Formats: sequence, C-alpha cells, structure tokens
Amino acid sequence: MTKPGFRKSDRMAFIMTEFSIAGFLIFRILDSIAEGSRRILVIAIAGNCLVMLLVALIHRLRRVVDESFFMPMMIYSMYVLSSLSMRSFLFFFPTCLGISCVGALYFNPRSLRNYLIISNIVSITLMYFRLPMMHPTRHMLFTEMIMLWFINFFGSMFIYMLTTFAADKNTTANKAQDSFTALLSSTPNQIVLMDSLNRITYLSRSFLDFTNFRDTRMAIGRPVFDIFKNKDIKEMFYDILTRETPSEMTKEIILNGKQRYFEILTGLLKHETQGRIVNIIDITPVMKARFEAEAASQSKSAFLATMSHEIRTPLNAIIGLSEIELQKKLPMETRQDLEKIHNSGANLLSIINDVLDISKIESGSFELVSSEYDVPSMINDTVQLNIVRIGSKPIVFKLHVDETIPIKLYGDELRVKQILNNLLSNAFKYTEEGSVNFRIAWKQRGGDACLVFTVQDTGRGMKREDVPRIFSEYSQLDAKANRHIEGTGLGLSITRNLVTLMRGTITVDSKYGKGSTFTVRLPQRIVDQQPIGEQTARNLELFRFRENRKSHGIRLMRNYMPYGKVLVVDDVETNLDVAKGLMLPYGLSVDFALSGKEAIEKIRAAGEDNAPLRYDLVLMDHMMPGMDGLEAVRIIRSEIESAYAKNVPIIALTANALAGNEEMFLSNGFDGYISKPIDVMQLDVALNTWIRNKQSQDILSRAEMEKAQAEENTKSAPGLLDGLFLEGIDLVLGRERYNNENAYLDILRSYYLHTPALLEKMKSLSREGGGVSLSEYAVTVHGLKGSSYGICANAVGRGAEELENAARAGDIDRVLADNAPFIEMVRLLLLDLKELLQKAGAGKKNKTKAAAPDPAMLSRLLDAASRYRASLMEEVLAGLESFEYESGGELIAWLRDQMDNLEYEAIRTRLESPNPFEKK
Amino acid sequence: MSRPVKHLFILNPKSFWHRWKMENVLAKIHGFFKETGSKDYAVHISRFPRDAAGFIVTFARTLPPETVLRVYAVGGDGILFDCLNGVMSLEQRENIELAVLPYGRTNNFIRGFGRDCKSLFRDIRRQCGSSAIPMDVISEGTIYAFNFCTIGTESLTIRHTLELHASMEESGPIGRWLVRSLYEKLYYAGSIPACLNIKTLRQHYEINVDGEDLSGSYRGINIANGSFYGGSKRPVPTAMPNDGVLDILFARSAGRLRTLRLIPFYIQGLYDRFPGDFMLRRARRISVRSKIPILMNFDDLVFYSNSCSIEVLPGAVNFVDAAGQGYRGALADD
Repeated sequence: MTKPGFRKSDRMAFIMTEFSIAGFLIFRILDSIAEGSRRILVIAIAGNCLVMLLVALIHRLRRVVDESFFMPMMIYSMYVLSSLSMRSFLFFFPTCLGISCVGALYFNPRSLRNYLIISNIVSITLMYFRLPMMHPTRHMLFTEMIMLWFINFFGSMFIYMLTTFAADKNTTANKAQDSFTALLSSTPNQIVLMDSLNRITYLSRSFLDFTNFRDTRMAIGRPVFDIFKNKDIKEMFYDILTRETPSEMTKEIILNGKQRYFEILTGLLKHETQGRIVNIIDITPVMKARFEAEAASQSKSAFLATMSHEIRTPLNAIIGLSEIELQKKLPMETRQDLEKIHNSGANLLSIINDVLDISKIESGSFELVSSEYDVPSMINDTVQLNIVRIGSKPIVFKLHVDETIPIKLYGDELRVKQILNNLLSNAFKYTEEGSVNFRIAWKQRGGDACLVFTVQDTGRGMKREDVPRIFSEYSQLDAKANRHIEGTGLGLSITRNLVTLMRGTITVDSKYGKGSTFTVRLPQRIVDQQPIGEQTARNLELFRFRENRKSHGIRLMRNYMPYGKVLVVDDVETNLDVAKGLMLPYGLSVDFALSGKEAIEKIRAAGEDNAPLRYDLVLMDHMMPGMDGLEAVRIIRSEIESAYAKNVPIIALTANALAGNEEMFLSNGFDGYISKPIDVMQLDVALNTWIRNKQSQDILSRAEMEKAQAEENTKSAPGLLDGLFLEGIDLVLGRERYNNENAYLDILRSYYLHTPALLEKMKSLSREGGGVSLSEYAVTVHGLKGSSYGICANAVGRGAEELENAARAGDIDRVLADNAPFIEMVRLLLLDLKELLQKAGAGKKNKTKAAAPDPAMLSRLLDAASRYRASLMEEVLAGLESFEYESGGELIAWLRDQMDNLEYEAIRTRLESPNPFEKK
Repeated sequence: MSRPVKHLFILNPKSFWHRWKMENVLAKIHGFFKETGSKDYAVHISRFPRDAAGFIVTFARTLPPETVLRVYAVGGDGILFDCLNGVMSLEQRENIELAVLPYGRTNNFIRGFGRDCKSLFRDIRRQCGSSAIPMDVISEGTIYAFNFCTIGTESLTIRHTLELHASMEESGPIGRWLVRSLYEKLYYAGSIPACLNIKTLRQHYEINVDGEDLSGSYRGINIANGSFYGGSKRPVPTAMPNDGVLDILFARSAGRLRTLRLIPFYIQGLYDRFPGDFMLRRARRISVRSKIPILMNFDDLVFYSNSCSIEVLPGAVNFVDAAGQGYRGALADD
C-alpha cells in the first residue's frame, strides 16, 4: 500500500532530527561565544543553515531514494558530528540515540555489510581529514586514530542494533499490512478504503473500471468523489458515504454503455485508521439469471392465466348450468348426480384458484384487499365451512374463542379465512379419528391486534425432517400414504405466503403419528376495541352463532325488469344459455351475438335513429376467436359515430381473473367486469346498476305492477293440480319447471291428444316390412322421448330413449321385443292422464292478456328449434302459451301443433321467415 | 411575478481560524433572515472534501422546479470549487445561482471583481439583493473550475506547496500559524524541488488547441479562465471568465536554473518579455496526451491523468455579483 502524504512517525522523525541538529549547533554557537572564537561562531551558524537545508532536502529525497541507505547514513553522520568535542558528545549522544530509535521505528537497514562499509568509510574519511578534532593542523597519533575509530565503530554498531531491533517490529507491521493488501487484491471485488475525509487510501485494480484512471496510484490521496467518470456513481457514493451507519444495497449502473448490477457493502473503520471501506460486488450475472428466472415465472403466470381462462370457460357452463338446474325441482337421483357435478366443478375451480394464487404470489402481483370486518362473522364463516369436512369421521371438533377479541378489525378478511380454511381442511383431511382443536386468542400491540390462531389435530403428524418441506410449493409429504387424500400441495405454501404478506408468522409443531399444531400470528388493525363478549364466544364455540349481517343461504330477491334489453356476446353457446338462464327471472329481453363482429353490427344498428331496439346493457366476453372483446369495444367506442355506441354500458365477462384486470377493462372502454363462472350477486348488481337504477320511477312502478300481475296470474289458477297424483309423471316438477300451472296443463293435454298417433306409427313396425321402417321408427320414438321428458314423464322418456338407441343401432329384435310392452305402458299412462285432466278441469283457463307474442321469446324458441332442444322448446312455448294474445294467437297454436308433431324444421322455417305471423 | 428563492449557505469550517468566527457568520446569516422574516434558507457545514457538491445535488432535488436556488460558498476557493462542482452536476441549472461569502485565506476568484470588494461580498443583505451574471467555467470531464488548470511544473509546485501546508498544519498550532502567515511565500519553497525535477521540465505532450497541433516539450501549461490564483499571482492577466474563451500559456522546456530565474516574471504575468520561453493562445478547447502521466491541477485539486480534454463552458453558471461592477480581471488589481 502506498504511503499517502506524511505519516505521523515520519513527521516526528523529521521534527526531532531538525531540533536535535539545531540544538547541537546552538550549543556550538553558545560555546564559541563563551570562548570568544569568531571563526567557530561563523562556522556554527553556517553549519546550522546547511544542516537545516540538508535535512529538508534529505526529507524530500527520502521519498525517492532507498530509505535503508539514507536513514542510517544520516543517523551515523549525526553521531559523528556529535563527537566533535567531548562536551558536545556528552550533550548530544543521548539525543542522537533517541533520534536513532525513532528513525529505527520507521526505517529498516536491510544489509549489515552495506552499513558497515558506509560507516567505516565515513569514519576513516573524517579521521583522515582530522575533522573530529576541528584542528586540521594538529598532529594525531595512530593510537588516537585507532581509538577514535573504535569509538565510532562500536557507537555505530550500537545504533545499528537499535535500529534493527526497532525495524523488526516495523517489519512485522509491514508484513501484516502487506498481507492485508494482498488479501484485498486477491478478491475479485471492487474495494476502496478511505480516510475520515473520504480520501482514498487503497483502491483495488478492478475498481478502476469506475474511474478515469488506469493506475491505482494516481487516485491515492484524492477525494473519492473526484475519481469517477460517471455522475450517477458520484451521487451514489455521496449517498453511501453520508450515511452514519454501515449499509448494504443493490444498485443498477450504466457503465461503459452496459447495464450492470452491483451489491455495495459499506463499513466504518474505527480506532486509529478511521475511515470507511466500500466493497462493491458485481452481481450482474446473478441479476441476469434472476431476471431470466423472473421472465420465465412471468411466462408461467401468463400461461397459467391463459390456462385458467380455458378451464374456467367450460367450468362456467358446468357450475352455472348445474346451479340453474339445481334450483329446479328434480328427482332425487338426478339431483344427487347434479350436485356431484356441481361440487366437482367447484372443487376444480378451487384448485384453479389455488394455482392462480400461487402464480400471483410468485409474480408479485398478489394484492391484499383490506377492509373492516366483523370478527365473530369471520370465525363463524370459517367454522361453518369447515365443520362439514368432518363427515362421518369420529372426530371431536373443539373451538376455543377468547371473549376479549375486539369485535371489529381491519384487514383482508377473505385471505384470513383462506389461511384458516387451509389449516382446518388439512387438519380434517389428515385426521382419521381423535380431535381437532381450533383456538383463537389475541394480544394487543399498540393500535394493532395480533390474532393468534392455533389448529391442533391428532392426525398422522409429520417426521421432523419433513417439517421444513411442508411450506414448499407442490409438495405433499408421504405421497404414498396420502395418495387417497385430495389436494395440489399448494395450500400450505399459499398459507405461508399470505401470512408473510400480512406481516405475520406461521409455526408448526408436529410429532409423527401423534398430530400437528399450526400456530398463525396475524397483526390486524383494531377498528372497534369492544370485545366480542362472553355470550358471543360461547355461541361460536357451540356452533350456534347467528349473525345479522349476512347469510349464505340468503335468497336473492331479483327485481323484475321487463323493460330491460340485454345483449350477451360470447362465442360459446352454452355460456349464452347460462347467461340467459340466469337473467330469465328478471323478465329481461335477452339478445345474443356469437362474435365481436356480430355484436358491433347489432350495436351499430341499435345506434341508428329510430332504431326499434336499443340494448340497455351489453355483456361482452373478453376472449373470443377472431376479434376479442377488447377490440370489439374499441371499435364500438371509437369507430361507430352514434352517441349510443359511445355510451352504452358494456360489462366484460371474463374467465381471466388475474389481478389488475379491472383497471385494464376500465381503461379499454368497459364499464365493469363480471368474472366467470358468472356470480349471480355480481350479475344482480350489474343489472340493477345499469338497467334498473336508470329507469324513471314510472317505469319501475309499472314493472312492479306487471310483476304483481304475473304473480297474480300464477296464483289465479292454484290448486288445479293440488292433491293430484299420477304415477309416471312428476307433476310437481312439471309445475316448477314451467312456473305456470295452466301452461303445464295445456302441454299435458297436448300430449294426451297427440301421443296416440305416434303409438299407432310405432305399432306398424314389423320385421317383414309394410309398416314404418326402423329409421322412421327411431325418429318417431325420438319425438316421443322429447315430449315425454317435456311433461316430466321420465319413465316413458327413458323407455323411448332405449328404443330409439336400439333402433338407431339396428337392433330390430330388441325393438320388436320391447315395443309392445312400451306401447302398453304409454297407453296406460294416457288413460291415467285423461282421468287427471278431467279432475283438474283443465278447460278452466285464465290467461294473462297480451298484445302479441314476445319477439324475444320467439327468438329463443327459434334458437332452441335450431339446436333440436325439445325441453327448452317446451319451456319457451309454455311461456308463450301462458298469455292470451289480441293478435298472433294463431301462431302460438300452430307452433303447439308442430311441436306436438315434432315438426321442428317447420317451426324453424316459419320463425325465420320475415313475417312469422302470416298464415302459411 | 418574481419566482421564489431558496438560499443555501455552505460553510467550510476549515476556512475559519477560530470556531467563534464561523459562529459569528452563522449568527449573521440567521439574524438577517430573522430580520426579513423569511424562512427560505438553509445552512450546511461541509464535513469533508466534495461534501458540498453532493449536498447541493441532494438539496436541489427537494425543491419545486420553479424555485430559484442560490448557493453561497462561505469560505475560500476550496469551498467555491466544491459548490461549483455541485451546481454543475445538476441537469437543470437555469434556476441555480452561485455566490461567495469570502472568508478564506485566498479568494482568488472574487479578486477579479475589485481589490477591496471582500467587504461587499461579505454583506449578506447585499448578496441577497444582488443579481447574477453568467460566468464561464473550465471543464475536464466531470471536474469544473472557475480559475485555472495547470499542467506540468506549475502543478508540481502546487503539489509540493500543498504538501508543505498540510505537514505544517498537522504539526500543531505553530505550524498552522506559519502557514497562515507565509501562505503565499511557501509557493517559492514548493517551486524549488519542482524546478529541480527534470522529467517534468522536459515532458513531451501531444497537444491540440482548437484543431491546431502544438505538440512538443513543455515545462508547463497554464490554462486560465480567471485572472488570479494563489493570492496575488496572475500569470495570465488577460484571462476573463466572461469572454467565452480560455487563455492558454505554454512554457517551453528549459533548464532548472532558467526555470527558477523565470518564476518571478511568470507569476507577475510578464511572460511577454520572454517570447522564446512562453507562447499564448486563446481557444475554447485543448486536449493533451502524454506517454507518462500528466500532473494536472484544477483550482488546487492536483491529480495525475493519462490524458485530458479541457474546454470552456461559456456562461455555464450564474454568479452573484455583489460588487455590482462585473468581472474586471487584472484591471481590478491595478
């Protein structure tokens, strides 16, 4: 390490040398004055000046000439000078020794031989010129010279030994310093050492990349801020060096036009060498690898988002349609099957949500949504959701709730529930028998409540070595033993990440074969300090807490909006059916489009002056083949000139539920979004916001009246089927499905009237021919199947279906074997039906009056006919038949005839004609 | 409507012989603003070399863009150098003004505003009320200076002198007193070993001055923007920091004794008496390269570099002229 400027010992040696020589010469001056010798006085003064100059020069020259030569030389010279007289010797020798010691501390005479040669040459030269006696003319004896030489030699040896002794210590220090320097130089890091004024004392070669210099020596002693060629680095160093404490940071710097990343560690040097050390580590390769990994993670997230969309779309149909169907009265067997479909769909959705959550957490886009929440409700919801997981297992579930927990807290309630659900579901999943204890306590920390949730089970537990793995992603311990247990292995990983995001902690204590205890501590802000109280805590513990705020079993009160017109845009027809089905109870007119282009045309047409139809709301799917929802909305908003197109509310329907989508939709012309599978609450809010709340009070009053009237009509013929029972037809279900008893009776009557003709056709089937062919038989029995299912004669429907399948398979033997019994079964049913119709007095009809059949309903009927969906056609037609029309009644009667004769093509042709009301 | 002004005073504690003197200045600053009822000022005491530069950058970022920042360098040329480098580090300098409250051993730059202008510049009321005038700045990469840049023997002399100052100051109060008393004279002590360094006296440089090739052996080059440096020394009296050009004085290589002999003439600006030894050029840019490292000196910042490219930045800084007569250069001293 280069010595910057003056060192303390260096200065001391310089000053002491100067003062010693000056002291000696002053002594000589005083001596000469006392002796009255003017010559000696002049010599002494001149000598004083000369020595001062020499010392100054030596001091400067010492920087460039070998110190091991100069310093002993100088010390020895002083020693010789001091022996000019005995008095001066006695006075100056101790001083000279002192100087020698100080000098020796700093300088290291490397070679004794050199030293002896120099000292002896000087000594002999001085003696030869008789300088020590200051009397050049005086004769000197040989013995005297030898004595002087001895004095000088041994004196000089003594100085040398002292110097060497002290220098050894200095060498040790130098070695330590050299080792330190070597250590610093050997690291690839960029290191700079600075003194207390931030001037450089050491600079590693690799640090030169940051500077204007090619040689580290050029920078030594300069303020560190002056050596940088880059202003950013200069500012960064200022920031680092003005901090009072050691720090660690990562910085991005553009160096030589390249983006580089550095980890910067700063430390303070204390004690004698006060200053700082800055250690800069080039982490560019690490950061690049990290960015690549992050990019890969982003790609994975994007992939997961796309996949989730792809999976959610069919799931929308599965969950939505099964939910709609489950709202109806169904046979027990069908209901159980549908419930299984619905639950499987919900489970699949939950797994997808887990995958999405972990993907969002990994990509850093996961956001907590905090709000005030009711603590007892949160506990109750969690417990009620999980208690069903016990099933038939012999498990005792105990809940302990601290009664002093504040009643209202601020945090992300949904995610707190998710954490607890994960822990409780795991506890129930992995416990075959025994108990699960769920304890909820809290501690106050300032204005926060630290909730402490403990879930303890007597399940299978975990091995000690497995415990650290449980929080890693996609990891399920003891996979063989747990193969019958469902799960992705993401639950605890998500839990840990959620807890960390909420600045909480999660710990686990587990004993293999005995059970596990999970403890979660979550800080939540206190909104209302009032404790939940003993009564509420006991109610919760006894699972009988009833809350006022909300109920899962709440029945949605749908507002009737017959004035509303909605356009649904989706490329998947089943999704259209789900949307329409969900909006049916609102009495809305629902139109649909199968692509973005079709939607644009419909909105363009609706935006024209005097347009007959204007949609109040458009539900637009986000991702569609060809033109997606975003592009379609852009065109609607920007390229269609009408004010209507610019303002019509458009809600996105999306299965892509990643965070930030709401902002994306809002910034792209949408007015909101509803996630798929369609949430009925979200849909209800959207319909009320965009349709109902924009209507005048008059319209709303009229709608209420219409609704009341419709309900009155429904009630006007109550009891026609009450108390009646018909084996083979589920009358209750039929009444529920059509939501109108009169319509159902009409359908039953139609079935009674038209089925015998079909049976005659079926009877004519024979192996020899002459009657209907097998293929014609299949069509006939297919029609019977549809109409039988339509009136909820499921047994007949199933029989017809089996015959149809057999006929289509060409199995004439089976058809002939089963045909007669089937016809007999239907005949008996018709007899019973006749009796029932008579009892019900089906002729007493009381229909609601209407001007003409609803075009939207006709459109739905056409759609169902196009897809040969008999049950849907029956449903729609029943709806149309429930009114008494001032005009257009003939069309409805004609449709019924065609329907009964299974003439779907005829229905389609007429409904597609420009004027379906015109008689054909 | 006038724009809001924020006053930032940066003090160099080393410029004050006694601490109470610095506290007096601080009291004056606080007193003035208390009297005017303004709170738009801040004081920073420099802790280490270039602290002021970094602090100005940090401080300026905290201000709204329309606010005028007036930086007062309280001390000598050292703190002015730091402040100038801080101001020049800022991207937007339209709203930045630089002022000097001269309390240093030498205040070379303001000497060009008039011989007895120190008291005017020390008047805080006058400083705050005065307007700023544009001033040229010498630049080499990210280093900026007001007065001069030297290369060669002159730089070596200054280096020796600064080392002598440092060693004497660190030796104790007597040493500091000696430095204070003999400040300018120690330049001669530093010049003796510098003039004996034959390598520097005969160093060969590749030089380009505004496209003109002036390569050759020189004992020193003085690139002057201001008229004075080192107290009363004015080797290039024609240099003015408001003319948009640099006055570059080339001292051709010569022997040790001749160099020593020319020192008195050189520091008085009488170079034109020795046309064989000196050559003057006025230019905007000079680039210098040498096979052995070049010893450079930028307003007493001495360092080695392999090559340098020095240019003038005309009107780069708005400088507060408390004397109100503009920069007069060497004329102000006559």
